[in-house]
Amino acid sequence: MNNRDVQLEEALSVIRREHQRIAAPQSTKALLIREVTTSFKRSKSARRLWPKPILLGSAFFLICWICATNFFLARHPAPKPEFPISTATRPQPDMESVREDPLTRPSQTRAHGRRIRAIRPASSWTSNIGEFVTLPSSEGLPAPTVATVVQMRIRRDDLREFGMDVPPTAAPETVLAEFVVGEDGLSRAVRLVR
Amino acid sequence: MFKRYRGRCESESDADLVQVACRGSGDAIGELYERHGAMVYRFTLRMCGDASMAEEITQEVFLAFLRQPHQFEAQRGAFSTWLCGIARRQLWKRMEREESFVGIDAFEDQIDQESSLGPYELLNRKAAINAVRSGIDQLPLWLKEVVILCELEELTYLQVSLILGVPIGTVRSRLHRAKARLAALLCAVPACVGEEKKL
Repeated sequence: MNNRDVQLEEALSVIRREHQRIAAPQSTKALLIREVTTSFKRSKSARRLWPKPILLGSAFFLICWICATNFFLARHPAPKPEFPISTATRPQPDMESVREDPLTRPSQTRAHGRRIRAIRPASSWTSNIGEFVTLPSSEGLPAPTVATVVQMRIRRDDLREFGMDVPPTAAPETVLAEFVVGEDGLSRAVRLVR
Repeated sequence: MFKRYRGRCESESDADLVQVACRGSGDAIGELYERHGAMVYRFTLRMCGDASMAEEITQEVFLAFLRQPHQFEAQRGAFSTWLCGIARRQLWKRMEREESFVGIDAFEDQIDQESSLGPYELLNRKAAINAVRSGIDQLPLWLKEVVILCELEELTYLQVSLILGVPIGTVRSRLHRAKARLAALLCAVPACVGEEKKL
């Protein structure tokens, strides 16, 4: 290390001491403390406020959505299914015709534009195409106050469960049938559509 | 909560203080400023030579921290290093914009008076110190910042490399070049001239 380097190191150490005596301005410290406390208070109050607009916004959105849905449904009613086979609920028939003996009152009734023909007692499986016939299995059941017509495709063989007479040759065939079901879930009458 | 915290401030680590400051503790930010504010201020003051600009930058650095405290990652480096890095970026931006390079007049006459040297030696020493001081001021910024951080702030090469965003080897070579330039300035000082002749 030559003299120049020694002098440089000495000079640097003096400047270093001088440099390290420089203190940070206290005005900045005060400003920072004030900034921290005020911004924290501001953010705290903002945190308290934010749920209100969100709740109001959500409520408003919900109301708008309900109104829009209702409006849309009013303008565009749901289309009728083309093949209401499985569990389609039909307009309810006038149960007066079911409750009373269909033979003594063969009048025709209308319910919501759907024609329910007079129900006849079951005789055989072929004679009841197009007409409702009371099921032998429903004998002794109380007359329902409300009934539902359920259309379904079943095997002719299954009609035996309801007390109908089905020849063995026609047993494997499937047929579209409409059942009049009471509010207790039990079938009262049946009609073969096809 | 803050009153309870006040007594513990001095023993807390920087990372803890940072977390508490983020929760709105004025005492914590005050303590952080006490610890590192001076270093940031000194660095910027030496670099730009303008006390008001240095104060503004110091303020901006801490405000930047308060606005985006998540940018400081304790595992990547010390808080002081991180602050110095921000200060440096702010400084460079301003200097590029304003192109102002002002000399440090405030410290011209602050020379160590405690030595027991004779008048001739004292004069030589004073001349050497003045030459080095003005030499530091005249260094290009990329060398000046290395001298300030390594020699005046006594940071490690690693810390300086983190602040400047350059490899440690680059820090070393820059410091070497800066010192060579400063040493060259001392050739004009009489004592050194005499030494040179003797050699």
